[in-house]
Amino acid sequence: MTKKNSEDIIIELKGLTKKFDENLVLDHIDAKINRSEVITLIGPSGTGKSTLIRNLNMLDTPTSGSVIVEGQDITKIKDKQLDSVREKMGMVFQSFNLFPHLNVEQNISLAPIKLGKWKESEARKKTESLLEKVGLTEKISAFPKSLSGGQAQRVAIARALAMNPDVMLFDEPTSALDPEMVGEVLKVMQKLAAEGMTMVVVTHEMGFAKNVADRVWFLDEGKIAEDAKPEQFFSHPNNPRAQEFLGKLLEVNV
Amino acid sequence: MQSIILDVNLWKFRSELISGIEVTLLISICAVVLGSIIGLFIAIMHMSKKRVVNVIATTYVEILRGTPLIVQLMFVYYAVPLILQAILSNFGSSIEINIPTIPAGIIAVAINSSAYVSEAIRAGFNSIDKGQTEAARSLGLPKKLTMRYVIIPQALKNIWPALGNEFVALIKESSIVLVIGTPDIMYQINNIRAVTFEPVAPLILSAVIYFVLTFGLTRIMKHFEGKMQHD
Repeated sequence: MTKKNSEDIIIELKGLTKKFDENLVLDHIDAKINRSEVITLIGPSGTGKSTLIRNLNMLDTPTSGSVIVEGQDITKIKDKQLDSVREKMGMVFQSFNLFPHLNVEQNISLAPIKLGKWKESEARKKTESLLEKVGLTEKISAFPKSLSGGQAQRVAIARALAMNPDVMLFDEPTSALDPEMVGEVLKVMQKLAAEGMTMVVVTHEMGFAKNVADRVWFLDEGKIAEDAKPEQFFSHPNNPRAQEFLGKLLEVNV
Repeated sequence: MQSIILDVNLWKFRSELISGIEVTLLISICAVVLGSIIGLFIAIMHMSKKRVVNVIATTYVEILRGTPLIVQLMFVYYAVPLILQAILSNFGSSIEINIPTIPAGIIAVAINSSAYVSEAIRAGFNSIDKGQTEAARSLGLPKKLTMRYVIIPQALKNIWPALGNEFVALIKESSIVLVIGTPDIMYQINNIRAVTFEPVAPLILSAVIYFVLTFGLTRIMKHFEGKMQHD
């Protein structure tokens, strides 16, 4: 059972700050994410997008500030509680990070079985239905090595979904893919968004940000320099850095 | 030349030689298994973030690598029982402690091997991308389960060849247990030399036995390594 409050905020950031040595990567970020919202984080490289998303499930621990997930400040909880918060927050990585020694079925069913979410007897059926969702039922017995990048990333999405998360975090999910495979992954993500999944996506795919996101966060110098609806952000960005960034993208697209 | 080698009838010692091979293999197998288990713990301690634990592991490895196996062996066989006896006598016990030669050999060789194995294990773990841990932890798997189901199986794949080599090396190195009177291959060969007054032929035979064992095992392991690459 998840707690719901009036605004239905699922994640709240309060003064989130991250320093690597003396280097200030995230600078007192305050933000809220509502249930079923799709947020895309965009901005030039090195502005802390990946660091921000990795702070949402404590893969990186903030230097100061709070990350409040479903009412619970996860910067201050014990490891065991953090594990159960992470169950509710699926994550997809740029480099897929599938477990190479396990086949697709085992990759997907490992966590839910070991954490008691699935009975072993129902694992096969549940795995199949997840693979159906990402269009890869025929790969159930394949090993990661034999998958293309796009297939591997779709399996990684299915694996994260197996825990039945409330939020999905995507850290540049298509950046390591050959161009012709980007579409198949984005399509799966678009479907997820349409089903009402709360999603936070670090991406360079402006098309996805434009068409699927509810909000765009433009990161610059460790701050959310602009937080806007995509139609507004892409047509009239307020932040000068955002204007510059989009201008450069337009040049490329010519 | 011919007379030295062929005139001796070594065939009649076959049962001694077979039992010697059995003891050598028993010691090597037990030592590599036990050494791997100890080595794993040492490697885990070595990778620990706690400084004290880290220092203990480093010291253990350095001492074992910096002293000869023969010293460690004699220490286990001669010194450890006396030390145990002295400790127990404080509690009013007057039991005499003796470690039989085979277990003593296994323990000494295993401990010695654990230092080398722990380094191989550390290398095996370090070669695994940290994204694997991150992926597992992000699914909510606790540290222990992540280790058990994600990291260790992959690390083992890296470590297996090193363990195989260690096993082969132990078959040869364990010949030193002869000095505490463990009835391994070399012990039997020495006896045969004494009984037959033949200085050379038994030694050649021992070389052949060791070579066949190590060469055969190396081949077998190469075969399995090749198979594992296909996964």
